Amino acid sequence: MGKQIELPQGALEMLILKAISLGSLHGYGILLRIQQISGERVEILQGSFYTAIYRLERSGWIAGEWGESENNRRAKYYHLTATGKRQLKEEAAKWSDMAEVIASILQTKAEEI
Amino acid sequence: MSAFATLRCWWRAITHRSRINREVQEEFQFHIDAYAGDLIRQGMSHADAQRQARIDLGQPDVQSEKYRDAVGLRAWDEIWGDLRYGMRGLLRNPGFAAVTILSLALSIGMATAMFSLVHAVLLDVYPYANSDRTVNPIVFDPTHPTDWDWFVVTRAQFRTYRSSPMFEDVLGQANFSVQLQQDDGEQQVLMVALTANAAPFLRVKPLIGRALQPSDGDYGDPAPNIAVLGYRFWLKQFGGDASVLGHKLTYSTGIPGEKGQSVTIVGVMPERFTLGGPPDFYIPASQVTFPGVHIIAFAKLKPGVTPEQASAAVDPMVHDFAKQDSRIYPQSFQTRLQPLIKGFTDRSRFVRSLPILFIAVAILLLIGCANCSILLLARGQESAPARCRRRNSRSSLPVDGRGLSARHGR
Repeated sequence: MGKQIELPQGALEMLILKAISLGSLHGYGILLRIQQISGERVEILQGSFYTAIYRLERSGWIAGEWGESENNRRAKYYHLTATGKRQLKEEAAKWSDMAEVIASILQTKAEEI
Repeated sequence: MSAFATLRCWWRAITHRSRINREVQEEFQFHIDAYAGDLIRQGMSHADAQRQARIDLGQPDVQSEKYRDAVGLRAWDEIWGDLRYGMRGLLRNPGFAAVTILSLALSIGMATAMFSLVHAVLLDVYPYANSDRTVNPIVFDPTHPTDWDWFVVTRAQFRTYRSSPMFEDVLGQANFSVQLQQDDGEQQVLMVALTANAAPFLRVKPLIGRALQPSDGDYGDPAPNIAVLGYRFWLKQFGGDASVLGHKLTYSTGIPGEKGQSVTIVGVMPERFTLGGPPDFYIPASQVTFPGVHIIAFAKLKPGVTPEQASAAVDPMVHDFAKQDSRIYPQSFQTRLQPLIKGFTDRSRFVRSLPILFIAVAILLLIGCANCSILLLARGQESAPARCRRRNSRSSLPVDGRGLSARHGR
């Protein structure tokens, strides 16, 4: 396990959208899946996690439905809405663009200018 | 983010408040339990796992508040809570509420009525464009500066006056008392002739038909033989009939040998347009054929020019005018350009007392507010805040039992 990284603004929302896009999940499941995919390298603060979920639901990008959990308890399962799918696509494109640009700037050497 | 989704979320959170809160708490409880379950699987005891989960995650009962904060309803909740608290207070003391509302309503009503009056009489008196920059010239004897008078100029003097670099534009108005010839005899009416720039200078839209326009011509131009009626004259003479357009008016100046002049009515000015009197009708200056016209000149100052600068600039010019015709000017005088409103405010005691009245009413409103806050303070002294659920300080000492009933009876 590498060093844990803190997420920049807006990244948590995108990771939640991504996690749900792979199949509907309850809140705890989303948390576990993000940690699992990232190889436990992402640190998610408890305080901001549900705030992000609530905001995504308010914006109509994810929608929750009550269902049965693995251990037969009522749990709220989230899935992506149509606008949520579009949003995820846009955000992902924006993030990879940004990452690429920043990486290329950081890799620039003096003789290349 | 779609505004519609947000509104739907708010609507649900407001109308189904308790259900949403319950669901938020249940969801969070599930999260805590799932986390604790994982801790137990890692070898922690049940009690320790529950404790650790609460420490790491927090309490489910505050989660609904976090939910409302996250979706942006905190301000709504606070305002709504205050409103309900206020409404409960009003309902608990209807008499007190009535007194407060009445005293505030009275002071607000008075202040509003007074402001409407001040607005109509002092602030927005004229319907003319840039009337704050419009000035007319007066002359006064320096030894009696409050004793001033308007003066009129001849056509040649008007042209000179108009050319002053202080002015953006100058409007000439000449009043005539003429005989209106009707089927049932004659009637004396007030007719006002305006220079061709009247429309761009005043920029007042006619009520019906059209106003005077630049193509109607200035002094010496070909006359179109038209007239635009004043509102009052239109009501009085034609009963406010819109079909008056196209009718003809015939008037004569009463100068021996001059025959009547026939003009076509092309428009009616609105009620607030009373330039020159209010006159009965307006004609373009091109229709003035007789010599010896006396023109009142209204000037619109160029932006940035003060009345004082303009007064100093035109003063020598007006002294020249006085040399040409000394009859209408005092022996020794100074010229002052003063705002339109000044002629009105200086000569009416009622108008001068308006600002004082307005201040008085504003103070009454302040007193009303102060009374209400003092009443509230006094009541606050007498009864502890509702949060304490205690009506007054005596009720905390259940000496005669009345305190208890007063507390629980409400």
